[in-house]
Amino acid sequence: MTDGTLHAAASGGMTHVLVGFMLFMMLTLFLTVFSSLDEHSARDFYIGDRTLPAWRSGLALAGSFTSTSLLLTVTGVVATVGFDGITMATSMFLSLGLLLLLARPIRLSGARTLGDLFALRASGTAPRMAATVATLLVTGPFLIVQLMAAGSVTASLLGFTSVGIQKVCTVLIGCLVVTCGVLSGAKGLTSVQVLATTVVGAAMLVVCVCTIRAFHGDIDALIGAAAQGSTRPSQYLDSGGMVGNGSTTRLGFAGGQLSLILGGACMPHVLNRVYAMKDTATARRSIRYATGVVAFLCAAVVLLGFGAAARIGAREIIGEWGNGDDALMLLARSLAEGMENGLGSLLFTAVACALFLCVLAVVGGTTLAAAGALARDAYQHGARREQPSRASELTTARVAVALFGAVGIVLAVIAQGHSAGFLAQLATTVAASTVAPALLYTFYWSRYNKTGLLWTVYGGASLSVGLYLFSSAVSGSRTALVPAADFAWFGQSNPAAISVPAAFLLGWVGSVVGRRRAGRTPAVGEDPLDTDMLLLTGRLPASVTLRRR
Amino acid sequence: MRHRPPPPSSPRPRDAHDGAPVPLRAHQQASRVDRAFLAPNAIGLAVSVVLGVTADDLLAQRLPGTQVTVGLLLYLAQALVLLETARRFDRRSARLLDPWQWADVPGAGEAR
Repeated sequence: MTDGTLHAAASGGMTHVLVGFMLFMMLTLFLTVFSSLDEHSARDFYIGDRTLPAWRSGLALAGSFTSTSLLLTVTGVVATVGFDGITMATSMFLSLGLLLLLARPIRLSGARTLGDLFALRASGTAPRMAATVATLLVTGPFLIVQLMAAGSVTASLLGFTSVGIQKVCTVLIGCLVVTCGVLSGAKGLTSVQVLATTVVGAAMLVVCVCTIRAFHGDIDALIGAAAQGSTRPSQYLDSGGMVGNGSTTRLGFAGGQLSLILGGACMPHVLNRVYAMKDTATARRSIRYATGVVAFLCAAVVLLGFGAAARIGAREIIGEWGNGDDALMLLARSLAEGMENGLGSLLFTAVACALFLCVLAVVGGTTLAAAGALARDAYQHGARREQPSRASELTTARVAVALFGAVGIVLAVIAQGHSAGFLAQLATTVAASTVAPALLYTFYWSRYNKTGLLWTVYGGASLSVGLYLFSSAVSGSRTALVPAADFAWFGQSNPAAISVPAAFLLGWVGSVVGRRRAGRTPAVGEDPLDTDMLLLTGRLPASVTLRRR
Repeated sequence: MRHRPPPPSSPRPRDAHDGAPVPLRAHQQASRVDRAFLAPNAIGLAVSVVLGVTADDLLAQRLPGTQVTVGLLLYLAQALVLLETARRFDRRSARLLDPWQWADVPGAGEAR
């Protein structure tokens, strides 16, 4: 969030907004804790009791999927450059299609964490450690961005604009959310995610109606005015606004869309929702419902992007920081100013509450996913290597949430005030370069083995993080994380065009090499037929079950 | 569509190590259902991305008398294709694949 938004939000009488926001926040936190009073095991803590009906599960999935990246970033990109923002919204929506395809095998595997999925075709602790590394590399940056957004929104509601107050707000909101995560677990989180989807959907609907009303219901006039207000009036609905029309940059943009589709579906906190579904039929139906909700939200952010460009203008939205993340808040403020009888304050409060809930739902999901990886994959299966008691497993899970959350808050405070918006893209790219290839190979290629898995995960992660470090997002430009330094030699803004195909290639080569090393006989627990059977029917052959007992 | 228990005549998968004609059939059914969903969406996406990367003018062509462009329409069509194929995928999976999950598999144990 830039100073532009904060000034806009801070001006005027915000007392009603602040009181409404605080009240709403407290109610949400109470709901979270009360929903999870009967959680007594680590399984309940990670995924709940797997009894949710499809509609509720679908709303929770949509709540987990809808991050501030969709609501704020996409609105900003549509407002400033037009067509490329629409492409981003479509890619995010399409990623749920991939999740629909993965839902059956994920649910049939009976997994609770990413490590359980990675262990389907590879035995030992190495796949679980790889799953932990991938989960932390994805959830860490994503958590930081969400906490930063929460701090900025709260600071703006309090009427402050300085980075110091934003940091204080990040700490306060972060502590509140993490405490909530420690106490509540999956059941409380589900309630928050369902509420988040409902409130975000309602707020977006109201703002869309107000925007269309402001243009007397004439969508053509809205698009025309948006084009005039954008950075490229004559080419507003042409592609290439975000990165230009050079062949390399367009390839980079296409890679970015690929990362949104593959990575969006394979974010650990999104997969967590699929683990928690009752059965495969419920999983498919839930994802269909979530797809409908996300399709509506994508259409809404595109419309609101048009509205922001038309009413406010791209130059004011971009401000001095060079991104358009403030478009939604500025539009809500602009629409609120034109209303009477306190309706304006209500509208602005609704948008602020929607953003807060959205952050709460995603932060809760990411901390829980990371805690699962740390406690179950790294500690229980990796370091301790024995079955813990129910109580100690639950305690470990809660401690892991607290630890991960605390580290996330510290890093978010450090990053606050810097240009760290690229971290959301980094998280998606890492997910697309590690989790997506590993899962697709695991489910659809029976010759995939441990070597292939490890090459995919570590190769994809090294490439995506390494290339990001040397891109203009980190150094060498005014809007970089470290603007004073310049060690950027990687030309594209997103390395997914290289890291995603490379990860798939590494997975294939690794599997071939691994098979040659191992000879023809598969290791115990690595028989591909067992895994195929499990992924088709949800059951293991009796011989394997007996051996594992 | 609500999930229904499998019909009495639903196939009974046998242990995967018994020569496995039944799991093989299930494999084929699963790949067919997956492909029928994946193909239209992947083709639609590929067309959108290729046109977006190469042919700006075509995507920016406006429909007569409106501000709506071919690119906008293309994405709307993509969304509709996804929703429709998802509905069909769900129905076909419920009919062809869910019975495997619910069938009584002789000798098979519980999943992890």
